[in-house]
This record gives sequence, C-alpha cells and structure tokens, in this order.
Amino acid sequence: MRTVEFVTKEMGRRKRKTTAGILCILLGISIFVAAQTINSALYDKAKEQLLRFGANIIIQPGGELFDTNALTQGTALLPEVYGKRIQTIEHGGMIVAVSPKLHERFVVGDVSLSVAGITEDEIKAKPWWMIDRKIVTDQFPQGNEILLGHYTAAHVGPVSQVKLGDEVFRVSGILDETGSADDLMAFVPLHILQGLTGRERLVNVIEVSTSCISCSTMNLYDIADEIDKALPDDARVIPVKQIAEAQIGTLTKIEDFIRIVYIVVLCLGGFLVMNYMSSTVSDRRHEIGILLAIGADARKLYTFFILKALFLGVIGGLAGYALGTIISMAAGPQLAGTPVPPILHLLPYSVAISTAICITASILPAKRAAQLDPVEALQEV
Amino acid sequence: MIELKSVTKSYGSIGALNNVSLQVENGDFIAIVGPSGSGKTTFLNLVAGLLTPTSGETLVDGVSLGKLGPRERAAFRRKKFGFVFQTFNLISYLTAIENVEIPLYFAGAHPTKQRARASQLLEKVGLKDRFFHLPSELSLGEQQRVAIARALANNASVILADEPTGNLDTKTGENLMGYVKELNGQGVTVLLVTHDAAIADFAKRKIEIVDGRIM
Repeated sequence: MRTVEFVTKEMGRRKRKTTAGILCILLGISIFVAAQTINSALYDKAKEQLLRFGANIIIQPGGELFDTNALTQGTALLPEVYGKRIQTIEHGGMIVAVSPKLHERFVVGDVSLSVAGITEDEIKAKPWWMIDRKIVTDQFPQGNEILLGHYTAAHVGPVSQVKLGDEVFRVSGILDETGSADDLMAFVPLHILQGLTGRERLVNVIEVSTSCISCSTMNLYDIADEIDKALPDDARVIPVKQIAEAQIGTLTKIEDFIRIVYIVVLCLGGFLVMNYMSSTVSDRRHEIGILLAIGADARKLYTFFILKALFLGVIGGLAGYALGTIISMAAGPQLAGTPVPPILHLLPYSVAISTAICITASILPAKRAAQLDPVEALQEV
Repeated sequence: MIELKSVTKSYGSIGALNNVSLQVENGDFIAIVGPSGSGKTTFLNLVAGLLTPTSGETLVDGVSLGKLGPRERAAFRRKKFGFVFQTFNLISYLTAIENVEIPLYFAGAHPTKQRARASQLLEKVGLKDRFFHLPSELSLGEQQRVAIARALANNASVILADEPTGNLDTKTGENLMGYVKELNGQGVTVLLVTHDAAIADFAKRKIEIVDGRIM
C-alpha cells in the first residue's frame, strides 16, 4: 500500500461518489472551455468584421495634412518601396495588407474621373468589395483594365472601354455599392497608372491593415510605432485613431466578458468542490476515526484529501476540456454564427485551473478531517 | 506495563470515569465487564491515548500519554496497540489483505514488506483464500479475523478489544476468543471489554466497572 494507491483505491471503488466529485469540477471547467472557445471564435469574427472599417494605419508623405479627400488630390509622393519595408517590422506577421495607392484625375467625356492605381493587396484590405455579390477575383484589373466604382459606372454610362489620356482601358467589372468613397472612383493596376502619369515607383499613400487590433501584448499604436521606426522621416505614419479606438474598445468589451466568465466559473467550481469535499469528510468521519485509531496522524489524513483533490482536479480538467470543446463545437456555430474550432492550448490551462481550484477548495475540509476527534468519529456509524 | 493513576474523565458535569487507578502487567489478559454506559469503552480509549484524561495520568511502559503531542501519540499508538472493535471497522473499499496492510503502511513499512506480513497474518487467522475479498464479501467471523490480523500487523504488544464478539454468533465468538487467548499465550497483553460473562471467562482476571468506578 502506498499513499497514491490508497487514494486511487478509495476513488476507484467508490465510483458513484468519485463521479459526483468529478462532475462538480467538470461542470465549471466545461463552461470555462466552452465560453473561452466560443468567445475566441467570436473574437476572431469580430476582428474580421472590425477590419472591414478599412485600413487602420495610413502612411503619407510628411507635411501632408491627413484628409481622405486631400489624399485623392495628393501631390506629395512616397517611394513605393516603403510598402515592402513595412512588412519587415518585428510584428510584420500581424499585417494583413499593405496597399500603396497613386491617385490621378482624368476627364472622360464630360465626367471628371478620380482614378486610383492599386495592387492586389487592396482585395485583402477590402474583403467587402463585391461584384454581383461575389468576391472580386478575376475582375481585378490586370494590364490595361479598369474597375469602376458603383456611381462612377453610372456617371460614365454603359461602356465596355474607358479612355484615360491616350490609353484605352477595358472595363473588368463594376463594384457593388460600398457606401464609401470607392463608389466614386475607378481603379487600375498601380504600375500602369505610374507609367501613365510618369510617376514610376511612386505613390501618394500607403494604407496598412493589421490583424492584431488589441492583442494582449500589442495594439495598433505599437505597430504604428514599429512602422514609423522602419521608415525614413519623409513618411508620416498615422494610426487611424477613430477606427483604432472603436476596434480596441469593442474587443476590450469581449475580453472583459471572458474575464467575468472566468471569475464566475472559478467561484462556481470552487464552491461545488468545497461542498463536495466537506460532505466527503462528513460521510467518512467513521472511517477517519478508524484510521486515526490504527495509527494515522493528521498529516497523513490531510495528504489523503489533498491528493484526492489533485486527482479530481486532473480528471475534471481533462474531462471538462473534452466536454467544453464538444459543447462549443456543437452549440458554438448557432451562438457565434461562425464555425468554432477546438483550442488545444486550453487543455493544459483547464487541467491547471481545475487542479488549483480543487486543491484550494479542499484545504479547509482536509484540515477539518485531520483535526477530527477519533473517539467521536468512531462512535458514528 | 500499563498504569492508570487516579484517572478521571468527565464531559462537562457528566463523569464517565471517576478516579480509576489500575496496573496491567505485560502479558496480562483482563476482561473489563460492566453494564452499558458504565465507562468501559472510555477506559479503553484512555488506555489507547484516544482520549485525554480530565485529571490523572495514563502511563504505558513508563511513557505518559498525556505528555505526548498528537503526532507522537499516533506513532506510539500504532507501535504499541492493536484495536479490535465490535463492528470490526474494516475499511470497506479495501480488500482483506489491504486492510491488514494499512497499519504497516502508516508505520512506514515498504509495500513488499507490508504484503508479506499481511499475507502471513491472514494465513495465521485462517483466511489464506480470502486475501482479495472486500469486507462485504466476507462473513462476520471472517471480518473479525481480518480485524485481528490488522491489530497484530505492527507486532502490537497490547490488544484492545471492544466487544469483539458482540456481532458474532456463539460458536464464531468462541473460535475468535481462541485466537485471542493464543495471542495472549505468546505474550501479548489483552484488554477486553465485554458484557458477555462466557467471553469474560477467557481472561486471566476480570475488572468490573460500574458508574465509572472499578468495583
């Protein structure tokens, strides 16, 4: 007989009581895992949706006042290569899209047309761009092709070609209404517009979209700082404060909600385990009396109960993770409106939290067991 | 030698044992008899150090139990005493052999030694084929024999038996007392609480306790 053996035999041969104990902690941990998994999916979805506000960092030539309208008229220029430098920052992995843009105005018939030269990163930065309610793919302008904004197309009329300067551009598609300035613009490949306007490898603005809006260690302002350090002084890096604040604020609310769930789960789990352990001590008073009579000391009894709590914690943590994951995968899509994948790294956290709760909640009942009067305990049957 | 010096145990105003003095020599076999509630079990618990006297002193081999701390008293108890209870008090989720191993485990014996000693003791009480049975799978007589084997596990020099035959039929009870007498013959001191005169007859001498006093 060893201490571990003694405890496992007690648990194994009193299956119903052991199961009841495991259920106490399993309930709390499964809620924790399910809430965390669903919230993680919600968080990702929210992040994706928040990105739809558009680029959250703007790089423009130094001295230019930040104004969306002014940018479309911008005369000051930046080297296009700055876009590549941006991707080399330490947290470059958090950058979803770097969209350099060059703007120029053309007169088409009696319509003044605002044309932007763009790269394919524009699609990544603007996943809401649709043509006939489908994501823009083949219609993205290549070579001498032009993509028309919704109202621009209405202004120029039903044409298959548009002449910009001396060049003729085939209309590759007409964007669905976006409700943004894009509706009033037309888009051609960046290098084509650069050639057409004689501004080779130059742009007016670089728009950056990041995926990490409010990570635990990084936020948008930190990434903007990194970009600022990576670029020469002639570039001005501006985090779009309004968007950043809204994004950070919304995601902080989600994080706060998750935190409340943690606290409720910790309290609920601890309370249930403490109740369970207390009732176990009461149920086993007579047995504790026997053990004391035949030579157990208080420390040994204390060890039994804490070890039992440890086993309950580990089993409850593992089972709670499994159940919570199943619940989140089954119910998550309805609650979060998005597929909910399991989060493997929650497993060690579940076991650690479960074990910590079980042990903490068992300290007082274990002390009570260790301090029982053997004679009184023996008199109880 | 066990010595009680003017031991009194009371619970508030209720006296359970009043000014009891007694000497028990090593190898003695004493039956403690008396009516229910007379203080017999209290006497046994005081000897074992499970209770602390309100006044007076209990000495076992010259050691005053009242002067030992809880841990020392637990260690002393497992070294000196073996308990046999009326209700056997086996641990329900442990097999017969595991029940006998428990005092050895508390005494820090290696698991291999625990198993060897427990096997030897169970064989001695005639339970060779019942090693791996749970108490619920044993007859009452068998359960009490497991309890005796458990009491002897740490080579206890004193057996404290509280109504050990109380739940057994006459024949099984007498068989059990045969084992106890045999142990006493090997030098083990036995203090036996009983209200059964026939069982008390197995002892070398009898002490009667009435209203907390030795008569």
